Amino acid sequence: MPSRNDRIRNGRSGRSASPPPESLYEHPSDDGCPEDEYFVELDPDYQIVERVVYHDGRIAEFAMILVRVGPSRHTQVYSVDTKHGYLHQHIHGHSRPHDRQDVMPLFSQFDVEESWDTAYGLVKTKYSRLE
Amino acid sequence: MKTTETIRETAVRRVMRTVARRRRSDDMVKDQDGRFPIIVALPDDTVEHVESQRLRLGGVANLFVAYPDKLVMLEITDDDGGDADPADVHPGATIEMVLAWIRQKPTQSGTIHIGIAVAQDMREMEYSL
Repeated sequence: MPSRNDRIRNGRSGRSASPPPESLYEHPSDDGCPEDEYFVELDPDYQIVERVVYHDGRIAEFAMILVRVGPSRHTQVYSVDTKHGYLHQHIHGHSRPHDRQDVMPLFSQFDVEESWDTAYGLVKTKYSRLE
Repeated sequence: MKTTETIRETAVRRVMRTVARRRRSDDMVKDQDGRFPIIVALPDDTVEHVESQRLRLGGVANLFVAYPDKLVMLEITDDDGGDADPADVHPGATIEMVLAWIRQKPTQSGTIHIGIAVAQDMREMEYSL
């Protein structure tokens, strides 16, 4: 058991032990589940792209991407996805190395579904700070 | 988590959640890349507002009209299939006006001419929570 000082310090910082990797949920990427991609315009310069993998009719995995629309190409500005057992964000949209930040662990497909609102909030927050 | 969201922002969020959670892609139209373009409109939005988005998104789109307690969805393409009964619509007409016209049609589909836009397969649905 952590010492009293460690417990106080961990409580203040919100840190806790990382969940064991085998407890985290990751949907198999090669099981032939259907994947759809939707996109909606936030304004003429930005879109949200939503990629969803379904299993048994429910969300098994998703990604939300904030995209800047250019005259000849679109640029990923920011993204959130549920791969690798965590809801996590790529704060530069994969344009720089090591831009991943974990948001919360996911232990089940249910957690993936429930994390949708959090993910959307993160994307909208990022968008609001661009304007 | 929700702060001060505009009605339009609420509508977009609800539509994106609904299409994700309820996998409606079998009822939706794809673009040439196999993706599903979505336009979210409020009933008072003008036809011109929706049409400008449709053109920016590539010509075909899935239009979701967001009401407080339901969604109305219809596909918008640019292929009128030889419709013999199109309607000339003023750009300032509202989406609700267009839907009222479509509701009278037995196929729940219709061609409107502002550019050439075909609205088809109108249906209602509930929001996903």
